[in-house]
Amino acid sequence: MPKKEPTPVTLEKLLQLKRAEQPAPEFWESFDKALHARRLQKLVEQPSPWAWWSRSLRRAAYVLTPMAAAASFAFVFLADPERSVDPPASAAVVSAAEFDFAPASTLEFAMASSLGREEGALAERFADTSSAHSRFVDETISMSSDRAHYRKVLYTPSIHSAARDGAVHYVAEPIAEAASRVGTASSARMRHF
Amino acid sequence: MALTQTATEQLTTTAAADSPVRSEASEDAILVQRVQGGDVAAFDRLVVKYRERLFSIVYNLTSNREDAADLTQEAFIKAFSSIGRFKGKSSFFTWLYRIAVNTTLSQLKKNRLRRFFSLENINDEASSSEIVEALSVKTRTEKGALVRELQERLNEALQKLSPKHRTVVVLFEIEGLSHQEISEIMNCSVGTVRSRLHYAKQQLQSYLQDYIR
Repeated sequence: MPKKEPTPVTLEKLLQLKRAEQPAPEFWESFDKALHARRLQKLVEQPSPWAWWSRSLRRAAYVLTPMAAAASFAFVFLADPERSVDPPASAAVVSAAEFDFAPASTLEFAMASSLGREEGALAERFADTSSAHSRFVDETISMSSDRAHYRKVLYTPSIHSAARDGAVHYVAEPIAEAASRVGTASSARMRHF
Repeated sequence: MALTQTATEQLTTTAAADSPVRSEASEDAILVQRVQGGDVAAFDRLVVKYRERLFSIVYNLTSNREDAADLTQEAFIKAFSSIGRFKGKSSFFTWLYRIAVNTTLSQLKKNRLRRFFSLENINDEASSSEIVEALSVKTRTEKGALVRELQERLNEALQKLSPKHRTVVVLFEIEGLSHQEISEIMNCSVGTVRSRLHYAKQQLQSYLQDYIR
């Protein structure tokens, strides 16, 4: 009688032993009970639609709050005319031979210093107007090798002034060029910038 | 009405003529529809049908009975919670296995599972299998002790594999799923499944070389 060949042991056959590994039937009873309890708990915890909205809003708040803050910040600072206006290309540059940084702090000073003789009378008319005012922004000092430049930009491009004759005068450019642009306009044609 | 009845009869005849796998899938689809319609008892039937297979997968991935029970229950709870979103694009068991595998892999990744192994009972049929007989003769070990030893060594060897390699081995060699089914469950290509399986088996061969001849 021929000798029986021993069964070859392969990895696949070894792994098949794992198929036969199963818990005892009692295990499934406790398993089902635990699963049932967990499912009930899940059903109880099932969120209402309002809870869903509330949760979504809370999540959105994490994103929207910084965005809103950034938008508010940008609005406040960028909408501020003193910060957002671009300085005119022909902004006045007052050169000082020495380190004289005294700003031309008033419009009257600037205009009086820049107006020629022929416009002197007109300057006189401006001098006692009640509403001639403006604001200066963007004060900068730049240094070069031999001189310092003091630059002051006039923000309000028009200076509305009520003269004695009732006409409204305006200056349309910054200080240095204001003299040449002084004109007369009626109230109806008053420019708004 | 008559038309509907005829159509139903045709469907029943067709389903009966189909393979068991197909009829199982259609049975699942009917149960899923019932659960989606609010029939909780239908879900219990799905649990009874799949709990052992699902537990087996998770148990072989974790090698711990308590973790396996927890994760299998969690997988069923997740499936129950999201069954409304199940559109039937894949079969229900693929979908359910995917949930279980992902839940387990996620826990393994977090390394929150127990670090000791547990052994389940092996049925008598396996204990008296040819392979156990052969190894018992070869090692001159009593069969019961040999089976325990083999269980331990197999657990240890599986745990030495990476979770993804272990998953492929468990699904293919132990659960008997096809490459295609595994690729759907693991959301990777069939080529990747084959490559992982090849590598994992090489590793296991070296870990279990004392027994393999």
